[in-house]
Amino acid sequence: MSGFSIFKRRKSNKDINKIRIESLKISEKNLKNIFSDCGDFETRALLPRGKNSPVAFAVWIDGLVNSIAVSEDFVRPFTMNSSLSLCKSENEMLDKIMQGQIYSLTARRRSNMADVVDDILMGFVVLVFDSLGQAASFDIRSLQSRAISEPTVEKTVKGAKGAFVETMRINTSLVRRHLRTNSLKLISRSVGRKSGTAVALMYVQDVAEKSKIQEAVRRLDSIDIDGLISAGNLEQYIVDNPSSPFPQLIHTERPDKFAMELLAGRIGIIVDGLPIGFLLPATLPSFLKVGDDKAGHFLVASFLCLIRWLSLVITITLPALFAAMNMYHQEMIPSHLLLSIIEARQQVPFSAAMELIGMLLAFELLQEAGLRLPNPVGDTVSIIGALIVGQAAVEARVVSPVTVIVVATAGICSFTLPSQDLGGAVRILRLVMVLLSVGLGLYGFMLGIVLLIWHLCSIESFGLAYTAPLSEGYFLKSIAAILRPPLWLSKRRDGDLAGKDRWNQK
Amino acid sequence: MKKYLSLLIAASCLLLSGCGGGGSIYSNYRATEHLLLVQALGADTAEDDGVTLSVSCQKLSSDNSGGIISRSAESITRALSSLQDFSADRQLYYSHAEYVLLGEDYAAAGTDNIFDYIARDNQLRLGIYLFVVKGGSAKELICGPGEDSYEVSKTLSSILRDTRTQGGSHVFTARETLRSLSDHGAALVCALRPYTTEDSVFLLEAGVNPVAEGYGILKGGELVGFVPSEISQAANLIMGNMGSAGITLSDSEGGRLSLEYEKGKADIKPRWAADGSLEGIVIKAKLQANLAEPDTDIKHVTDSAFLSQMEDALSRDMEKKISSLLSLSRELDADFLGIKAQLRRSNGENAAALPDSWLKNLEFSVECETKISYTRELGDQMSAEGGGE
Amino acid sequence: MENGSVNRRQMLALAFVALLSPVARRFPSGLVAVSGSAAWLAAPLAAIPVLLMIFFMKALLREGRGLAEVFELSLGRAVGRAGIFIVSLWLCFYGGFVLRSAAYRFTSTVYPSAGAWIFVIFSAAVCLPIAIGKFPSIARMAVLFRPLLLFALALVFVFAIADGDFRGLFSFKESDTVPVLKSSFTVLNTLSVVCYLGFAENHCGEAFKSLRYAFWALVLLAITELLCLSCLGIFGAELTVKLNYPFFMLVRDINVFNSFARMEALALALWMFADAVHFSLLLWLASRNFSRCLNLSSSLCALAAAALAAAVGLALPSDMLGVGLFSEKIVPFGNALIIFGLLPLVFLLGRIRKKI
Repeated sequence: MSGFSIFKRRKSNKDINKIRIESLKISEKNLKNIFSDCGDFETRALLPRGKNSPVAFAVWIDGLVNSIAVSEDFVRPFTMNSSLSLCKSENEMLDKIMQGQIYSLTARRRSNMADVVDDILMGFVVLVFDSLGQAASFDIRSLQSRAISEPTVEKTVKGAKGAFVETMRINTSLVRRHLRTNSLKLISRSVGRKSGTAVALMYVQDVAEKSKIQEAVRRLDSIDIDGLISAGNLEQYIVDNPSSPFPQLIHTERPDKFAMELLAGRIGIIVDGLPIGFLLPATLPSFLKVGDDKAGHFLVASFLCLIRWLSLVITITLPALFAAMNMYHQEMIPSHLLLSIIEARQQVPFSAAMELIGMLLAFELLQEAGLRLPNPVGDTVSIIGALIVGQAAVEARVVSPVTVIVVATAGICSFTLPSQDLGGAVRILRLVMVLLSVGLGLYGFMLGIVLLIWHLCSIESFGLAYTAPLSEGYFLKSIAAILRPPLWLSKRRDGDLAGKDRWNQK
Repeated sequence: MKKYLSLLIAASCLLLSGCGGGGSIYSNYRATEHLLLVQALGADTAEDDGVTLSVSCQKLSSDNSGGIISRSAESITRALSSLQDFSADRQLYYSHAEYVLLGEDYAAAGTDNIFDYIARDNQLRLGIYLFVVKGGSAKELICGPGEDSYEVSKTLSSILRDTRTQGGSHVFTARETLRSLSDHGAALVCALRPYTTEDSVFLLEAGVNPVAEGYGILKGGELVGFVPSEISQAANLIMGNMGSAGITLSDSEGGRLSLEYEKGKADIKPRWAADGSLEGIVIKAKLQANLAEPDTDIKHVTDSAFLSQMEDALSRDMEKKISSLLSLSRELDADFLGIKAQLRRSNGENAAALPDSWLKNLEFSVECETKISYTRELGDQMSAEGGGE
Repeated sequence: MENGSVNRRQMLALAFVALLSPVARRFPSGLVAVSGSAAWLAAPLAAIPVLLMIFFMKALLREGRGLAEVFELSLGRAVGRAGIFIVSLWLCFYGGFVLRSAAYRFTSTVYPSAGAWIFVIFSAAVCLPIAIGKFPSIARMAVLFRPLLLFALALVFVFAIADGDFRGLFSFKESDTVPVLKSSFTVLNTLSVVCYLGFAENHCGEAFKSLRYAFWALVLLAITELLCLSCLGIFGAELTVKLNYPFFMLVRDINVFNSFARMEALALALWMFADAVHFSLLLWLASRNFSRCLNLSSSLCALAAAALAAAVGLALPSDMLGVGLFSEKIVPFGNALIIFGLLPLVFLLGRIRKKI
């Protein structure tokens, strides 16, 4: 495998707890010691039918298991099944149990204490045979989870209305419903010393590039943290440039979009406890596409794609350009507009720079306040802030109306960006560009653009340039990345993403 | 890490941007609210061979400030500086200036200084429109009757618009004039004559109303004469800026025919002698005009003989104009029509060998061919034969 | 393709965008000053020599072998490295000149009250992290900048060609021949700086395709031609020579529906893209060559090269005559000496010694 940046991570000390557990013999007593002070840890001695003394102990964590299923599918068959009483040894009993004497669909035989502990923490019920030093784990997990609902952010008109939930297995099943093929592979991993969070890496064999799959697995395995609880715990540890504010992992709450991207050659990651799916590698054009683009007519979708690209450019450049033209290059402003600006600024007490920066910060404050407040209040505050305060400020000549229009236009353009992460990066950029323009005029503006473009060009995502395919030099590929070409013409998958299987239709 | 360290160094350089009063980019900062947009600039000769500059600025509706300032000094730079001193708390800003007016006296003394200044200045553009004031001063036109409501730029912009659509005197930019001066040694500049009226009519301001009237002739940068408005159409024809100016012809029965020029073209063909000397030039012009208003018996309009007579009359009229124009050029020894450039295109070697006085001794003949078409609205034939309606 | 390498299209874009910087600086004033109205003939006449230069570069370079390798193979390791070092010193000097002339362009037009030092220091500081970074980043930047610059050029040409008067351009005299040939050499010399890109040829994952380079060279010549025609058509020969930057003055007079006018500042600032790519490339090449010769880290070498270039940029004269002297005489002479003198010599020696 070649071509990936060296992914350096400081090696942390091995989990001492894990080393200690691995060396212990599987027994009920040892498990009690391991789970000491865990009030929800339960054990129960079980007596098979016809036996006089308990031969095994059931252990589980209360709340993680389905109590009724445990009673019906586990305890009852173990204690009532006469064939188990005929077993001459506990080993034979364990064999029979593994062959279906207990009615759980998923059963695993364990001889390592660390595996037993992991299973218990995953919500399995474990049957421990002290004398054997072995155990059998049964998946009788509680089915309590949030119902599948509509996506909250990625609204769709024509697409599927289901969104991911917090349970990983439900999410993987949602993806499987869209891709009913044995080529859809799933690699399971557990990340987080204390959280043991289950992570599933999904890809379509031969569609995703093998080297990228191996690299993704390697990076997942190298995450050595306490707990994988939030999205940042994953994102910021597996991307190539964690210090860049630009998002480098696509995330979606829609299984249909997730499946579409897998078919394009991307690799998906689903994390237990997070209602989103991550996709890699990510490029800038991918953050400006939405799932509904492929649902509509290519001309309409292309027009909307162009609008988004234009919005991206406007939101980053408009305030800065306005600052540069207003302060240094008034000749570029048409005469009548300049006259309007002169008139509007007559009694404004602040300089053009302070006015613009102040308005940008006020806009950010309003946006942030709107997010933090509860929904009904948040809407009201936004309206009050935007309409009343803004209008009052203009009428009081604290700010000029042109500045308000410029800032509002830039703000509205940032709302059209499909990716919130990209929107967040753009907010910082906007301010930086304004500062450069205020200090150095158009020269500063262009310096900012040069640095921004260079930064984007220097980011790579799993070996793929962030600005691909725009920066590869292929005109048609670039056009296809910006617009949405007709589906019947897009017969080949993108060569930078896809593996051996390049054709997606006849 | 090193990349980001070097970025930090770059970012800290931003602190230098405001350093020092001079030498920093910030010294180019202009507060927009303090700008006074100059729209027209006028130059006249002052006493002691200085220059009087007058500016007309766009007015602000909020406080009605703006208006007109005029100052004299020994040089353009000093005069501009003086104008700035008298502009109260505002900064005169010339980037949006559209018009430059040259007083007749100033232009006659030489325009090199003003053109040089326009070319060097980073606010004024070479695309600025030039006018020369005939029989008056630029200050007179720019300052007008001294009323607050007077703005010369409104009239100038309507003159500009009208000349584009209706022909008459074409308005040249500084760049075109400079190009003509360098290529031909002479150039035409739209001439304005200030008319003083008692009434104010519609958009015209009461007091002084500039009206386009022919061209001023610059030779070597100095104003040496004027092309009267009666023959300015000939200049437009030769330069390819015909426009749709009107002309009225009389027929033999005393009726009148008003026509509008539609398009025209003139070719200058030199006649070279065997020894390479210039025998003369033949100007072949083709004109097309449309019938606008027949103040004569309508039946004549469809009569081919009548039309032929009118076409001949139009041709003779244009030939006379072209001849007058060429005579003027010859008399002033100013090649504002670019005849030598045509000679060079025809035969570069012969043209290079022409003596300095070639224009003074130039022989020419003019041939004009005209076609009159009907207006687009009415049909070619009479719609009814005999009887009333 | 290996990580850290670029494809041929990106190399071409890099060459193209980097060359737009000297093209806008030198043309058409430099050509018209020598050959007057016949300057528009310079670019077509330079086509054949430019194509020959491209084929010469093809003979020198192979996949995975850049100019540095050619130097070492032909001249031996020690002498070859000395040669690379000298060329890299020249690249730093040339880079400093690029900084200074870009600064002069700003101070003489848009920022008259500013000192050139701000532009020199800022430009060097901004290009430094680019030069420390990876080569593919610079190539990708060039691909992204290219359409913007082409769009600006197209806009200017459309308006200029529509308004221009070209009647006087087609009358020739015998005495025009030698000046036109001199102008053609100026075109060849200016475009030849692309040869320095040969030092990065080992970063290109595809073979040198001379036809592709030839196509883009012809596009660049076409742009030069249109530049000459536009300025001659609008300003005429005399005014074109008098103006410092006639191309940007063209932009000043463009008016699009009375909404976009007087865009000179924007066009000037847009050319920063070409300058940034050009200077970053020179800095990158110089730093990697220094690193190869001196066995130091490339970041340290980039910092030294940037400091040297900035020092040269600050030390160069600030008046028009001084800048003109360097622009018309010293820098073209230095580039010609290396590209038409040193490179063929190295090539010949390598062939004689049967090393390449």
